[in-house]
Amino acid sequence: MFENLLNISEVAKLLGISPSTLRRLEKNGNIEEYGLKVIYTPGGQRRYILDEIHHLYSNQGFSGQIGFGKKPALLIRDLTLAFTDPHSQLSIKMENEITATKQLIDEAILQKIPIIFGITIYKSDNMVSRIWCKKFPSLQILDRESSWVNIHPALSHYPFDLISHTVYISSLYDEKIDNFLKQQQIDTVILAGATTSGSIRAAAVDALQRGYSVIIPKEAVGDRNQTLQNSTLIDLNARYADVMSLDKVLKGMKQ
Amino acid sequence: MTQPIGDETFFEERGFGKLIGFGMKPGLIVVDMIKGFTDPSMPMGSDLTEQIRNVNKLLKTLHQMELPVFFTTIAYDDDSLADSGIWYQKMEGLKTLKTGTDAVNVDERLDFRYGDGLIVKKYASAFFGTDLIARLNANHIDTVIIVGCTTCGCVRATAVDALQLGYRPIVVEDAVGDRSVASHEQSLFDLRQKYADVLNTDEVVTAVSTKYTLDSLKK
Repeated sequence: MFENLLNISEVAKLLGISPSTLRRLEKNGNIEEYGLKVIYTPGGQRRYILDEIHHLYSNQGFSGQIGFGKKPALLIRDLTLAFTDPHSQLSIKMENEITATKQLIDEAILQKIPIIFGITIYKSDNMVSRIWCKKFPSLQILDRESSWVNIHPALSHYPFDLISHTVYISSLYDEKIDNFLKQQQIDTVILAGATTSGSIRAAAVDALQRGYSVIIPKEAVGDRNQTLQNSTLIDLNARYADVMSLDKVLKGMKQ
Repeated sequence: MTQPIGDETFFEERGFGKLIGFGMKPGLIVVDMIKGFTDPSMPMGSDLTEQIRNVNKLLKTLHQMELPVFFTTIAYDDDSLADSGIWYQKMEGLKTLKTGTDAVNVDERLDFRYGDGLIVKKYASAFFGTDLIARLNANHIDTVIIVGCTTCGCVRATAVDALQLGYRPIVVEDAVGDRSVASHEQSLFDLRQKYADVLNTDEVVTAVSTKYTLDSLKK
């Protein structure tokens, strides 16, 4: 029923208190001070609901909802062979995210919402590539000519309005994408793809700075593990983006 | 004890988390060490005493070496916070950061000297909509040492931007802070694996004072 449960040490860290304080505040399965319910596993372990933590942030001056603007665009990132093929150094399990992204693409086509596909590449003569590559040399597999930067076969047949190769972390640093958004008078970006803690996060921060509303369908973004995924989405929803279920985003696209 | 944030071994095997290293000339960016964030009684504040002590150690070294230092603050002039764009709709707490109030002043426990830069920003990254790039380039800086708060907000955004603008970012782990320990740790993890070198204050002080000399920097 609740897919996103956190354990006591995760919640204590998020609240900036110790696990023992958290246990002490608990009365009859509730922590009144923070408005949290406590769920017990069959083994007697405490679990807490992620959505309630989101709500808590909103009571401390964070997590307001911005919502959809008038003209959204769908911005997909790095669902390429490099990030999805198990033989790649950079691979992540992305089957479910790809299915969710296909639903977003189908709805976008139906609603005439522009679809942009951003692809990270490595350019040996580019300074950003060279410095970034010092941090993780496997970036080098993303050569523009290599098949690693091909779009995943489940998505490659779609008619994207713009496919752009970029050396940058944030898709909005890419001039072609930035110009496209301006020309189309886009005011809302829906982000999908990989990785949540990487390019998705950077694009969310950057898009908000540039005045775009940012929508993140949580089923359509993925990362190398669940902890990275969960804590990034908490941060993003608290500060920069509206993190929503895929269903809610699909509904929002219809309006 | 705290849980491991990510699988460090997994990331190491995949070739993440190598060192970028110092370049030709470093500068220091002190992100948002203003009362609105450093005074625990403020709505967005927390206790950053330890971080302030470490930032002062770094300031001492950078000042001695005559290396550039830039402080940032975040301040809004408009009564209804129109100059925060749509960010205010997300973060109501920004209303505590009004121009002319004490909340946007650099914490006076810090050695903020005449000659240090002050960058007023409106958003998370110290680069967005400011003249920081021009100031770094005019000073021939290719390496930015980043300290301040909050780790998962403005520090992180500044480090990621620094990298994609072609600078070498170095984040000082015991000189950055956040209200949420989890967000702090996760951001340091991500930064260390993918975007920046994460070092402690003593390591940075040693590196800066041994790698560079006043003479070599003047060339």
